[in-house]
Amino acid sequence: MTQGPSDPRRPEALLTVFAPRVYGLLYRLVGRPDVAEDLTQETMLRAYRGLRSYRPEGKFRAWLFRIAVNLARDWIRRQPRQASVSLEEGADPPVAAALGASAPPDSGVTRRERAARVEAGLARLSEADREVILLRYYGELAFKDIARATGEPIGTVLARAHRALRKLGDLIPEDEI
Amino acid sequence: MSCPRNEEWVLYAAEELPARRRRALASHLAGCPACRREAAAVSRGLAALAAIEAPGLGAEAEASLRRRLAAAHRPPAVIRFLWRHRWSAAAAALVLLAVGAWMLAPPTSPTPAHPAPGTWLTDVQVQAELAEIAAGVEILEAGADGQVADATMPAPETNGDWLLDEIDRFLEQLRAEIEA
Ligand SMILES: [Zn+2]
Repeated sequence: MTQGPSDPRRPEALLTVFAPRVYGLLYRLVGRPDVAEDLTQETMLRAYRGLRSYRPEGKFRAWLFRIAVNLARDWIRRQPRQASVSLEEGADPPVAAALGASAPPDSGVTRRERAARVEAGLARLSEADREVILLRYYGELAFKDIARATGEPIGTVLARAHRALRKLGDLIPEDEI
Repeated sequence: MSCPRNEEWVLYAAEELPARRRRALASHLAGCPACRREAAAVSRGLAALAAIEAPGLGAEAEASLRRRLAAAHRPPAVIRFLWRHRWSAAAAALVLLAVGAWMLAPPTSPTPAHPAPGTWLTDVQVQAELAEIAAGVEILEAGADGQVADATMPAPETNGDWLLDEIDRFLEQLRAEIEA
């Protein structure tokens, strides 16, 4: 068994490769940077402790993101009922720091505007639909692996993805693609 | 071919369909404006995702995570205990193996080339292990007296650390077994 630099059993790999993605997913799911940080730590620690039972041929990312999604769901369930979880009004996402997750360079107003539009669209999705989309984006998971991560049948996941992608696609004029 | 379910355009746009199915959908697209619109809309949705700006993990959170993972990366407490008390642990292991061998070993036992996987230590293995440890102790004692007979072993005067290295290797194996 080899332990290359990207071997998920190495804590460094967990940190550099997966922590920023897991954090991004959790931040979008729970809407609060402090909670997302705590849950990222918890996800990573649980993943790390569970690594002994992880076999490299398994779908590591689906497994890792499933831990994160479950933690986010638990946290959301414990919150007093709200209309929906959305990002704090006016809250700036923490400046992308280390771990190679640097913020994209500011390449003009159009890009900014589009990002704002898409993020507003994300916030309007149902929790479950948003989960699927975020797993796609942050986890770079195939839809069958998203089904593993959410514990839903692939048909349900595809229906969620379809609904969400149509809504997000409508936010972007055809000539902008 | 009749129009596929809308959900399938998600897999099509994400390029997650088997090649044959992908080709079938592509040829359907050529003749069906309704599905072309549907597929294009889903593709735009996927393209929109690229606009999401990934928030980064704060430096403080990252440092804290690093510390916690490093702590989790330490060998289990039992291993650290064994390492601190490695000499008495080696002696205890020797006693345990001797007792085990005495209980398990019939006077004449066949010698299987490979023990069946998943079985507990066979008496033959116990004896082999015992012999190995006994040899180790012999070397250890000889090393302590400064009289190493075996020429294949490095003399302790020239390299005082080799015994420790041996123990290290032994503990490494033990650790691997415990973790397995
Ligand atoms: Zn059609």
